[in-house]
Amino acid sequence: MTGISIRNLRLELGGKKLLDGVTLDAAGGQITGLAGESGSGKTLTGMALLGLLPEGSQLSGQILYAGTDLVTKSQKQLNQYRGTEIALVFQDPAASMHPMISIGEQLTDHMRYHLKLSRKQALARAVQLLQRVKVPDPEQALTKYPHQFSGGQLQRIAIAGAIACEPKILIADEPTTALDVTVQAGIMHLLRELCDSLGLTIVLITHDLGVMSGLADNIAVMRNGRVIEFGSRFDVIRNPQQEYTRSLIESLPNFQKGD
Amino acid sequence: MARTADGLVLDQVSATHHQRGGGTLTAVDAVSLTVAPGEVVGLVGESGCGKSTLAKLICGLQPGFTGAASFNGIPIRPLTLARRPSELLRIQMVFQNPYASLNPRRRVGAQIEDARRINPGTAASVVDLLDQVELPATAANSFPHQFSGGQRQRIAIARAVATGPTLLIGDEPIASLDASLQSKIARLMRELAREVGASLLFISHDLSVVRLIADRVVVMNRGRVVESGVTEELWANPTDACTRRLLDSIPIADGLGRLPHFEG
Repeated sequence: MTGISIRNLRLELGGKKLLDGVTLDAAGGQITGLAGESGSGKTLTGMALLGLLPEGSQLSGQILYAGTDLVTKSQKQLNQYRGTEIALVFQDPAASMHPMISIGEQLTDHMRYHLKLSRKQALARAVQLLQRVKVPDPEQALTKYPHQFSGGQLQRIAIAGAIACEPKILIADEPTTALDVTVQAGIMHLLRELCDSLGLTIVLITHDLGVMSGLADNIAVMRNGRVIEFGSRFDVIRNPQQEYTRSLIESLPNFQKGD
Repeated sequence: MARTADGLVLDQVSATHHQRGGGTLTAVDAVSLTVAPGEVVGLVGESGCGKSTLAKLICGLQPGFTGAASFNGIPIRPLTLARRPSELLRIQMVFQNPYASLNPRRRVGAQIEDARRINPGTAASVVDLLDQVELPATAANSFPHQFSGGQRQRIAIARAVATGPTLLIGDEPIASLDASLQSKIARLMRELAREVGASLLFISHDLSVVRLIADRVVVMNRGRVVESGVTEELWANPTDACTRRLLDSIPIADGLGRLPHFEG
């Protein structure tokens, strides 16, 4: 199982330090959580893993994956990693899919390119994938369009698309934030199940420490472009070393002192 | 009809949406609900249960509904080109997405000033209103895009409070905010509502936040009210399967890696 390591990652845009020396190990086959408030740099760190960065920004440091440093790769070289090695799931599935292209087309397009499958093979695989993520009636679903699904179903479809080319790393950027609690629970179960059964390495980005506590094996807390605390889920949540981490946990609605 | 002070009274209210390609969907199905003056009521349910349609209906934004809806004895009717009765203008809504509910091209101060006009004479000044939501007076001269999501939601709340509201409705006002801000903004809404003597109908799918601020909770499922009761009782002894599902789905930050319960 392949993990990914970030060493002293810095990102500057117009003289402003967006990432200020991020160092982090996402162990293979585990879920590593990136927590923090908006603006802390957690999404940028996730995007940097795929080389998806704001225009005109300068990236330095190392991203070590399978013996290579991704920071040194050109955009073209990174295309060999995107989708097939490292895949991405976004917060809002309705915005991350094309509204006017059928689910079948959107789920097979990258498979035909990356895996060199025929149209028929790709569609057959798409059906399997939808079964895998428990979308009801997969054949029918392929003929439908994004607006015909609920947010939760659409996020399942987006996850199916992300794992289609058997990536080793899945970056999930706030995958449950746009969903309500009952649907969120379902997506949490799905992510854990995929991590365990496929040996997938998941980088989970979320501000919700409740979700983090349920899913992540290790948690990194980010603030102002830095990782200020890193440790096992239990240690970070039960025994935070940083005052900032403590304040995040205490601000949760179901926090009880002495619990 | 005589003016009374019985707050919001909905009696057997139903609303249907027309679906494309024919057919109708009953979003709100014979709902009866009251919010007494000064009361804080939480309205919870899964997405699609009809809670937002109900909120729109109370503000007159739902074209066509059946049943009786009134506020302090004044009947609520769908909004038309005519001005609403001035009492009903003081039913104010705070929406989920402050990026969409504030006018991007007008200064914050001007937008709050508009709301103050509904409440001439007695309205707090723009500076005081901003202070109440913990924003500096200089915010009045800025535009919405210069603020973060949490700050924008504070502005939206200040604008609602500027009218001297009698009923505040929050339609998932915290759903798009950071977890660390959610309970703070929810508590702020409760405090402000109490200060100005308004009732608060707080809509959310997250019972853990609603629990912090609501006196009473109403649970909806598939357009119907399935359970209601005093917050702590409902939290401790939920009787309806839907309420239990909402409670069991709440992820708890205990560091133990327990996934919330999920059926299916």
